[in-house]
Amino acid sequence: MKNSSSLKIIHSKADKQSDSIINTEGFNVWINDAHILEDINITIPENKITCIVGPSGGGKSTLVRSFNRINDDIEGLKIQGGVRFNDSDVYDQDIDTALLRSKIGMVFQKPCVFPKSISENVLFGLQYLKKLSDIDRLEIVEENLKAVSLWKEVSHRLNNPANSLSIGQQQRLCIARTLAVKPQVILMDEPTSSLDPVSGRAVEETILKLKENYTLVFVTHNIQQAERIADHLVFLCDGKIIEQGPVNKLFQNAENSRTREYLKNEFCDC
Amino acid sequence: MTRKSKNSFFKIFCWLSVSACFGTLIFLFGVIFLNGIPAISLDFITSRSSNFGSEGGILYQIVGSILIVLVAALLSFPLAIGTAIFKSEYLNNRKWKKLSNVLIFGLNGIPSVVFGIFGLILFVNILGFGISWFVGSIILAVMMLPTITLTTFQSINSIPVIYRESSLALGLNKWQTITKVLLPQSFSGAITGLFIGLARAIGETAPIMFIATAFSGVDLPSGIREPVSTLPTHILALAQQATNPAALQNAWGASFVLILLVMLFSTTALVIRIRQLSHQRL
Amino acid sequence: MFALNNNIGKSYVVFSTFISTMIIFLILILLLINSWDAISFSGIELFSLEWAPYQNKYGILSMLYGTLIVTFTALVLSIPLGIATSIFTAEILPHKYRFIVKSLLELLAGIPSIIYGLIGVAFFSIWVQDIFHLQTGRTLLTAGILLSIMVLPTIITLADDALTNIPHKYREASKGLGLYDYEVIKSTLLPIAKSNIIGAILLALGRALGETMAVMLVIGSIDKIPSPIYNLLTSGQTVTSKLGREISETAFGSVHFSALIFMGFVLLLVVICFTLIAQYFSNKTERLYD
Repeated sequence: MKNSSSLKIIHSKADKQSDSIINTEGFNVWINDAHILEDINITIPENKITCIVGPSGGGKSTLVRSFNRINDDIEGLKIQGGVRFNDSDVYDQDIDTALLRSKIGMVFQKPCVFPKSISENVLFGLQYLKKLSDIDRLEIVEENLKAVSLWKEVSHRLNNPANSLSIGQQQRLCIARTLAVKPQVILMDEPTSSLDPVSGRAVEETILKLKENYTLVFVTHNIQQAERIADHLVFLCDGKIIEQGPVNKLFQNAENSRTREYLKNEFCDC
Repeated sequence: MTRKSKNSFFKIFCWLSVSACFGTLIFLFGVIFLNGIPAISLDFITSRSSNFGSEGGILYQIVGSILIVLVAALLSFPLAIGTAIFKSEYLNNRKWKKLSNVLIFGLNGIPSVVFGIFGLILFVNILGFGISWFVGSIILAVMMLPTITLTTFQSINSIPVIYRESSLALGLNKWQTITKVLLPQSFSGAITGLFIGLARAIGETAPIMFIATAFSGVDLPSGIREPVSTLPTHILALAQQATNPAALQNAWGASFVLILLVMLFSTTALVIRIRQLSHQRL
Repeated sequence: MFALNNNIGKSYVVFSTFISTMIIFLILILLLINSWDAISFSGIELFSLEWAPYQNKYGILSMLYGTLIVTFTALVLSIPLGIATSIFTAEILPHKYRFIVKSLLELLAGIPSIIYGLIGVAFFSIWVQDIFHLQTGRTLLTAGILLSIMVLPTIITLADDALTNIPHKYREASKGLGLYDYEVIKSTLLPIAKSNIIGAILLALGRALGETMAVMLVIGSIDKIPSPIYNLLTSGQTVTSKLGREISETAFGSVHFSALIFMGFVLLLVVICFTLIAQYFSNKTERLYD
């Protein structure tokens, strides 16, 4: 009896690991008359880094920005089909988008710190989720800045304005700010593309560290970067998914010739 | 209160505010149109007023208003263009630029009644012009000055430096560059400013009521040292007899004509602006 | 020939600039000179309560108080309404309707103040009279309501510009952290736009302080401080309405005239200060928008 129940737990856990946390079925997006995403079927595995690669203008950003509905404000946006997150429909009419976004966090291409102090930036999203004592605040700031390896650099000037940081530090601060909300998934839309190579590497290392506790969806057009950090790879070209699967499989033995061509020569003829 | 309900309350408050603003807008225009249109007839706009304005039409008021603002525009325009050119092309010291901004914005902020007092002291009394429409034009010209200067300055200043450099490289001197290259490109900006200025000036009452207008028994002026009657001052005189329905009726009619003139000037400004923007895109 | 043209051109622009920048000094100096008689005649008693020219008493305090309380009423009504409306046009309204809604609201700004006055006389004062069962509807409150409508377009237009100038990334970053629209506006956008909005309010304040015609027609023109002091339902007087009513009936050169000019001078100084502070606030945040 006892045995079977523990077995059941293990089984369900194993089940969950193989389960996806986000998946789409026949997902289409139009902006005005342009068909941006066509019939997207994708599964994002939990606690892994999923990289979405493909040439620019292929709809990578639109896809991740659909997961937390940050695209909603775009005029002329039309969607069809569903995005499921933890078995609930993201595009359900009754869904609370603010709540959804606190579970699916996002880091943008260009770092965008608020014109406030460093610690206020870390606490910015969290302040509405729970009441915090001053001690809590300090702990949370420290914990999250450490998680992005920024603590040593800024611990002596937490009350300085955040835009006094270098651009790479600002991007790590943006990640820390997202972590503080404790989302299950973090979407990253080319977070290193506007940084210099050194800061880019620092952000990459931060991301690798996060993998244990978070599901990450990472958009990039840099194939070497995808190879370095991804567990799971999705190749998106001209609004269609060409191939998806474990990163080793795609790099060594892709089924589709266009995937092979793109991963080797960064060229896509879709 | 939960976060979600706070959000909803907030949005409801914004909706209510914008509805209140629109309600006010509709009320104001509704009142002006509904009361104004019945008061209007061909006779009303082509005959002179009598019996302190409560009878007759507003022909002389229309003529007076247009005369006073057109002359003001003629006086103000060259000064404003000159100031804008100086500010954009000759002033290169940041401190002086700031100072010129302070002076122009300061002038723009002066209450209209103070301009009236200024005109009364300087032109009517010290210089001995007496009450004359031309003094009113001078004062309105001063009031229009900041508006025209700033719009002209913005359009000259937004012309890329490369145009100036190309022109100077072709051997044109500074003044030729200004008149042949810069002014043609910024002219529509200046005209826009002029019409915005006209739209404001034609509705002004306080600056001209002690110095340029008389309330009754005014004919068309035969010289520059005579008073005229204008639409705004006529409305003022009639509003003070608001208990007399005939006077009130004529006040609505005059208001309606005044609003039409204001809208004529401001839509002209808008049309020039839109045409200019679409040209720039091409 | 070319050099000559160049010099004539330069003299023309220098001359124009000289005239346009000196006018403001000319106004200040003329007003100061002409208020000198009153200053030397009454001295500090200019800042007393009683205005009675036939007794040679020229206290401008009740007019200053009237200006203050009417302006205050106008701003109390128009600031929340104006800012909420600008939030609506900038953040809630879909972008494609924005131009038309803003243009319509700006029509309000085009109505000449004398027409506001006429509408105030014909409607607002009668409503105030009926609602509060007063003998006359020409009160401080009526003037305040009318003024609040008149300064609304200033607040809406400038606050809307301040909000729409904020780069879109701040909204996305805040929403990405799970904030509701209300929280995005309160915690991110309003703090960024704060100094521009303060600038807008100060500019509206300057307009309200100097507005003459509409106020003059509905305020009732009684040179007394209301009793109790916060009673908005009595007639009063502002500096501008006093000037508008009385200046053409006074002889140039008399102490009475000079006292009126002094009052205008005080108003002018206050308004210019607010306008310039407003300018300072409006220019302050530009650095943020990379």
